[in-house]
Amino acid sequence: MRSRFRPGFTLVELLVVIAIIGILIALLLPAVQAAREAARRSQCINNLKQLALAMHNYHDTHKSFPYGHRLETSGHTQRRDCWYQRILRFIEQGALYDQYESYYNPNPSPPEANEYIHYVPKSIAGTVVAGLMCPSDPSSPAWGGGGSDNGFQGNYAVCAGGGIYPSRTFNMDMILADPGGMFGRNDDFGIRHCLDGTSNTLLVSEGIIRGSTGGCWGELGGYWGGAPHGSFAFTSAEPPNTTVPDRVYSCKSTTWPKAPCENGSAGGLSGRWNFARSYHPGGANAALVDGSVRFVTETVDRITFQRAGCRMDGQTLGEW
Amino acid sequence: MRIDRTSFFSALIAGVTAVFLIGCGPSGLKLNPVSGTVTFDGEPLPEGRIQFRLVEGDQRAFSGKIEQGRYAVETTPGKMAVEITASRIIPGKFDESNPGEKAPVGEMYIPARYNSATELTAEIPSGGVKQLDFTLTGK
Repeated sequence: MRSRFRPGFTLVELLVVIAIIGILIALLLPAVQAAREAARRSQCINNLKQLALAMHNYHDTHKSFPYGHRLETSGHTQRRDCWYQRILRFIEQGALYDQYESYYNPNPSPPEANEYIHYVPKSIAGTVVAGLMCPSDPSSPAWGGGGSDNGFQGNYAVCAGGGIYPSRTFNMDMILADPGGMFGRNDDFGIRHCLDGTSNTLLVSEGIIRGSTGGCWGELGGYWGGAPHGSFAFTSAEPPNTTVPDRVYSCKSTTWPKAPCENGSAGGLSGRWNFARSYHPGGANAALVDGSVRFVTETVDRITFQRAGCRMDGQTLGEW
Repeated sequence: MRIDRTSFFSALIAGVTAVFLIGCGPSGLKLNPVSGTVTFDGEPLPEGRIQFRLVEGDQRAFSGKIEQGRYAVETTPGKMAVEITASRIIPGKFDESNPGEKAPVGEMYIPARYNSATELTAEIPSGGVKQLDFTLTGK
């Protein structure tokens, strides 16, 4: 009989193989969770794409984009109306638009209740529009931004600009007739106003909602009444997810994770602004005026992002 | 032929480790902790915000809360312009620009030379600073 080496594994070899398999599985599990977030991010990108297409359809009909928010005039209806109400018919919310446009309270209380849109009842204003909710934000669906939790609050807002330079520092205030971007107060900017080029100018981006309910004025996405306090827009003056706080009339929370906020009125602070924010790891999604959607990282060159918010600053962007 | 199992497994383990290490390159901003105290007229600032803005490069800003005179933020290294703000409610003053709401109004009481027209500067070395203190006066 020949003495042969019998094929087989020693205990140590088996243990090493099991350990390696274990490590590989441990690697895979977080990857599965990352895949879930990747799916949510795709959904968010899709929402922004649809919103950008709706803006273009609006542009085809009206020969310009909607205003950021309407100039408030005493005694007139639909005070604090913003781009959201204007775009409803173009995101298949025609019924909601018709209800809003025809709403009239014969016994208004207080007397100016037919003027301001934050008095529109929750049966209309509280309607959730799923296409304006980012699935990565656990607060969505949310209500608020217009003094109460009456009106729907979404995750998306238009770009007011990137700040303008009156003196040695730049002014980030968004509540100006023309804050420098594609959307301001009572404007009718169209593609012909976008002198920097549609592929170099920001159109829409996303923000973080600080809790599903709660009264506040001006947090990003508070479409029903918060517009002149900052709700309608974001500014690209700081990169996405900056530690610089948003500054609106009043915040739902000043200590929300990844979304610091300052009470403008109670803090005696001038200027109103929101920044692009999200819970997607590393940045936020944004749509450009040409309708393309891209992921903007937190580490983007601040000045590049700032220039991308301005429609006619005449500055080149470079790589971003 | 007999395979030298010991060296085979050593190579396997080395290979797997190498796979792990790929992708561990530098990513994001190189943030360093910066902390310290802020006093106003000799008293610790009860509540406020501090902001460091790079003077050069892309002039990125880093902001943090001040609580009980202490702050802790993370910044990149470099030369910074520092802005400090703090607010208090003005008793008996209200804003009624939103119909049906009487909202308290506040004031930002730190002089402009510490925020909107700041003269405060700081040089943050790589690795951060443990004790970077600011002494402000109202006069």
